[in-house]
Parts: sequence; C-alpha cells; structure tokens
Amino acid sequence: MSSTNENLKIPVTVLTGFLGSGKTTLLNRILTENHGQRIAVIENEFGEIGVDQDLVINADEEIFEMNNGCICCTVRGDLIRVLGNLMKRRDKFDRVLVETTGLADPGPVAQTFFMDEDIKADFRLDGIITLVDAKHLSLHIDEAAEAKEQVAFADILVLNKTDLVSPAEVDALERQLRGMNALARIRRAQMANVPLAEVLDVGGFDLARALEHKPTFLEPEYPFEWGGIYALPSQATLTLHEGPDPSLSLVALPVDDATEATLAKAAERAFRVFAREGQPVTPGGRVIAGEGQYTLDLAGAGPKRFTMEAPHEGLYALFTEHLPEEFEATLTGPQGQLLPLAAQAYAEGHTHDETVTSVGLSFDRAVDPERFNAWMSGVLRKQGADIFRMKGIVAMNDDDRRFVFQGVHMLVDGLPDRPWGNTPRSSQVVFIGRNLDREALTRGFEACLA
Amino acid sequence: MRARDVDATWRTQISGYPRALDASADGRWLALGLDDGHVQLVRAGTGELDQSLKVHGDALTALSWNPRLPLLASAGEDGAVKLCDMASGTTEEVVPPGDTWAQHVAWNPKGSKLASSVGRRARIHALDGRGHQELPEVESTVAGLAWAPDGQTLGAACYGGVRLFEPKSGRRTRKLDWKGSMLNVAWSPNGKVVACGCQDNSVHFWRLATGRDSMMSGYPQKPSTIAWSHDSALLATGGGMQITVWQFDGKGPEGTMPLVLEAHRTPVTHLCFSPLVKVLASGDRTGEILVWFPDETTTPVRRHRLPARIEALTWALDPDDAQLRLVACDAEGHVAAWSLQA
Repeated sequence: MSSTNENLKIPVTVLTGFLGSGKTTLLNRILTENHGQRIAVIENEFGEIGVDQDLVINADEEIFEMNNGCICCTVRGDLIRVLGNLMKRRDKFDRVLVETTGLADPGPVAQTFFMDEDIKADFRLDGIITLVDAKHLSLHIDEAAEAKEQVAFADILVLNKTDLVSPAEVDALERQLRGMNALARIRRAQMANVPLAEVLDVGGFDLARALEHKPTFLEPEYPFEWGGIYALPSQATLTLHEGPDPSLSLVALPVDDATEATLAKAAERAFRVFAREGQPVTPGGRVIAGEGQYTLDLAGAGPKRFTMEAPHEGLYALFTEHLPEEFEATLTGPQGQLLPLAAQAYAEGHTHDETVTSVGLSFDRAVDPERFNAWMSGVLRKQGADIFRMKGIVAMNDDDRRFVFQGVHMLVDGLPDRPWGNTPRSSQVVFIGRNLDREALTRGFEACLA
Repeated sequence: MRARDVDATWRTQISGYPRALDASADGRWLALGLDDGHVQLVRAGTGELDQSLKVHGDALTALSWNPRLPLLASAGEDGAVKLCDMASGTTEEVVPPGDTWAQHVAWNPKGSKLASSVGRRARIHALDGRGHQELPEVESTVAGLAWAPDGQTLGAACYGGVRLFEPKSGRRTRKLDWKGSMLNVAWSPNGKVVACGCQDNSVHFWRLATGRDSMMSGYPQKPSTIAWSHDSALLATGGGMQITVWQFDGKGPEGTMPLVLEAHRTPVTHLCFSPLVKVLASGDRTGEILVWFPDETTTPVRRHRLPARIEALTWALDPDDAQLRLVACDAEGHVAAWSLQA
C-alpha cells in the first residue's frame, strides 16, 4: 500500500467493537459533525443511522477464503464488490466508513486492502478503530476470541462508557488493553465523544507514518506498577487492606520537585533498587523513606498499618509493586490524608494472563538485511496465523535509509524511508499476536544484528 | 505489423458515469446505464442521443436487451429490476426497490424469460414482467448469471462455484464446485463449457458432459473479464496487462500453451468477442482499445483511444449498411464507434 498516488486514494476507516460498545454512536457523530464531506457507510448489521447527504449501503459480511486455505488470502468479498461500485460514480466519495458486526474478524477486512489490486488502486485503509465498552470489556474478552482480535487489530482503541465504571477500573482496563496491543493509541470516551481528528486520518497503515507515534512498548517495563510523588512529613501512617497479593514491595526515594520528568528519572533509580532483595516488614513495623526496598507482609484479614518515616521532611517518590487502589492504600500524616502531587501508572510486566499480547523489540544497532529477511519470513510463515499486526523500523547495515514495514498476518509491506542522517541507528519491531514467545522472538531478532 | 488507428465513425459524450452498455438485437440502438439511474438511448448508426429515461433511484448496475423485442431489462443499486418497453415507452417494475443491490440481468437466448439477481437471490421472470420463479439462495452475492445456449439451464456464479438451475421448476440441478470466489461466468456458445474468472488470480472451467474441471493459474491480477469466441474455440481472459487466450478446439487447453496477446500498457478492464467472426476487442484502464485477430496474429490490428478507463465494449451490426461496429464507453462518458470494415 505504498504507491505515489497514496494521497489521491479514498481513505477507509473501519469501525469494530462488540454490540453495545458504541459503534453506531460514533458513526452518527462522524456523519453529523463531519460536514462538507461525502461519506459512504458500509454496514453489515442493522443500525440506526440516517443522514441524507450520505450513502448507507447494507452488505452481507461475505468472507472469501481461497482454495489454498491460507489465512492471509481470506478477504471480504462484499467490500470488494461495494467499493468497486463506489468508484464508478461521477461524484466520488471523500471517505468510506465500514462498520463491522460485533463478532467480525478484522483480519479479512484489512487483508482486502493488501490483496485486491483494484481496491489497492483506488482506496487506502486509514485505520481500524475498535470501541471497547468499559463496563463489559472483561465479559467480552473472556467470552469471545473475536473481542481479543478486535483489540489486537486496532490502530485506535476507544475505551468508551468510562462514566459507568470507577477511575481505578478505567486505569486497570487501559493497562490491560495496553498489554494486548502496544501499538494502538488509547482514547477514553463517554458516549463515544472522542475528537474526530483523532479517529479519522490516522494513517495506521501508512508506511511513511508508521511508528510516528512511538508505541508504548518502548517505555521500559518496570518491576512496579505505580509511582507517585508525596510531600512527606517526618512521620506518616500507611494503611493497606487485603489485595490480590499477600505482600507488596515498596521503594521511596527523595526527589527535588514534583514534575513528571523527575518522577520518570526517579523510576529509573527505583528500577535498580527493586533489583535488590526487599527488607520484610510485618504490620505495625517501620518503613524508612530513601532506605531501600521493603516488602510489606499483608497476609490475613483486616487493615494493616505501617509507620512511614522520612529522615528529612520533603518530597519523595514512592513506587509500589501493585496499584495502591488494589489494596485501598492510604497515607495519612498529622494534617490528614496525603495525596500524590504527581503520579504515574506503569505497564504491567507480562504477568497478565492474556493470550493476546504485544512483543516489542528494540536494539540500538543495525541489522544484516539477509539474516533479517530470512528470520522475518520464517516467523511469518510459521506464526503468521497468530500474528495480527506487526510494525517495524530497522537500520539495514548496507543502506543509510530507515527501512519501515508493517503487516497483517502473513502479508507484509515495506519500503525504504528517509535517511538516518545523524540520528543513531536503531532497529525496532513490534508484534501483536496470540501465544507469542517473547524470548524466542528476542533471540531471533538479536541474531540478525549486524 | 503495426496496429492502425482508424477514425471513429462517430464520437459523443454523455453526462454521467456509464455502468453498462448493450446493443439492441436489431443493431439500431445502444443503451447506456448511468450512475444516476438514467438509461440513455443512442442511435447506433450516428451516436445521436434519442432519449434519456430515469429508470432507477440510484446507480444502474446492469442492462440487457431482449434478443427479439425492443425490451430493455435493467438492475440498479436501488434494489429494483425493471423492464422498459421502448416501443410503448412504458416501464414495468419486476423487482421492487429494497436494501440490497440488484446487480445482474440476463435474457434467455429465445428472449422468453429474464433472469435477475438481487444479493444472493436469483429470479426468473416471465416476459411480461408479471410473475416470477424465485430460485434458492446461493452462498454469496451472485457474481454473474449465464444461460445455457439452449435456454434449458441458468447458471449463477458465487463463492464456491457455479450453481445450475432448471428454469421451469426453479430447482437447483447441479453444483459446479470450486473453493474460491467466482468473479464472472461465461457459457461457451456450443453449450459444453462453463468458465469463470476467480478472485485468487485464476480461471476455472467445467466441461459439463464429464463434469471435469480445470484451473488455469498464474495470472498477475484477478481475471475480472472473460469472453468466448462465437465458435467456442477460444476463451479470452483478462487479469493484468496481458490477454491470455485458451484454445478449446484442439486437445487443450489443459497442458497447452495459451496465446498471449501483449500490447496494453495498463490492466485490461474489458474483453468482447464479435458475435459473428473471430475478432476480439479489449479495453484498458487508461482508455486504450485494441482489436485482435487472435487466429492470425498476436499483435493488435487496430488501436483506438478514449480519454479515460474503458468501462464497456460491445459489437453492433448495423442493419442499414451491414457494418460491424465496435462501440466503447469510458469512465467520463465518452462514447465512440468504429467500423471494422474501414
């Protein structure tokens, strides 16, 4: 999908999400707010939309497998037919929206834009938007493989109906989604009220724009899930309740100010402290800020109190193994409850039991093109059925340009991009898929480094 | 040998995107179906616009002249199938508008029955438009309809092959299976072979007598246009810039090399054999039209041009001067005719 006339092609946005996640609400918002554009909507299920100047086409979802049975050759016949006819009009459309059924697999939709020459010539897949119902996500994720696939394929994840759950639950959902799909941008919404500029013209399949938005996998993975900066008095009380674990590791480090940048730097320091063995503390015991790692014993029922002492009153960054709300943690000083001046939740490691995950690999080195191509084609041949999306940007040791590529299942599209110039060379690949073996992928990629 | 460019007999332009083109059986009229639901009736001899009728509420998808009468059948994206009697100027709605597009219409060879399809459903209508036989739904939206030359069978192409129906009872009598998506269907004029272009860049055909089927693969793009010569000896297939012609008159085409016609510089969009002699016309994405005598040479004998992508080609025999004319229309509504004898 990388021809010179890419900008002349009609952008296609795919809306996926389970029934009740708010697809129709978002669709109606796009149709009513996006004045001045002629939009064609292709729907596979009955929806309550009706805007006069636009065209709404009902089409059965027709999934065509080819005789070789290869998963990447599976396309959406209805899209080929309808899009083909849409081009045969004197007044062309400015944009096409494809609303899929709740249970639709986005794979064949995306592959249609890679596989069919006629569609490729006139249309470009702009992005896949997956709406997620914050209230019922876990239900859908547990019950249907399709829900996971829709999350995995997304360029934009709209976490909708956040008003129906607590902020802590929204944070937890966001981290769960992030763990599954590290490439997507996540937007929180109520009544699908996400700014349209963030869901249209996403460039999710545009190679030149690939990795323009740095995927979150490049954020380091920490052994802690949360950090916050507090102004600590000399003595405070830390109260915790029963949580998901019988213990909680904790580190508090002195900092100069309460900015996000300072918190990020402190996180790097905390990372090293967490690598050491924590000092066990039982309820009623003391935790001294700035004095290494403590492992709080939380076994048994009821609230547990610990005394937190600061050698010098002032700012400290506190890092906890799990989220404070998971233990209903509170920190109380002589003046009452203490609240963080800055806080950040970090991606969970890979402890979450999800079959769909993201594996991001990054090295500050160039790769050997021959070995890299051989490795990549081997991975896709063997695991392509389980790999939903893939993006990468690598330095080839025989080319001074960035090489960008992306794929859907076994289909990959790639081309040389702008030169590296003075930027240090690096090579990054992200896979989103089912049952990915992080270690094997890391070893394979490492073996390609020049 | 260099292809000659011969001046067009006439050129005209209509306002609209032509979706379908068909010549009347008497060779006097051309009907063009447009994206705004209009049918434009043009005199085949001069290119003069005779009348413009608003037949459908949305884009027209297919047109078919009755082989004996001045009756024009049409299908549209409004879901309707209509019959226009050009003698009386009346229009009959044989399938009412609906949510699903109507996409194909085809008269049986005698002109006594009309086949139409809306989505997965094909129907066979009586000549007067009153009363129809509903056929069982096929696996996907019908990709093409073709009558056997004896009119005893109707074929509907879909995902999974071609389904054959007996028109009187509407029963499905046979399944020509192939796991893949059919793009079109063409019945050989001798009735012996049913051929389809397929989404997976191949051509598939079935010999009806034995049921034996064959796959011809290796096309760089999907063969979205195929055409039989009048004597059933040649099957011309598109699917990229080359035209691949399979020869059915010898032992082949299985195991033989096809004729390869190479001169288009963009992918071929339309192929059409003359109904009387072995002359093939081909059009491409940039508006080039080539005429071939595939029995004699693999280089084109004529080269014509319209400004935009060729949407349809047809041959029309003019009854007044007995001239065989090639008519073409492009995406911008340019229409032109060239005489073969010139």
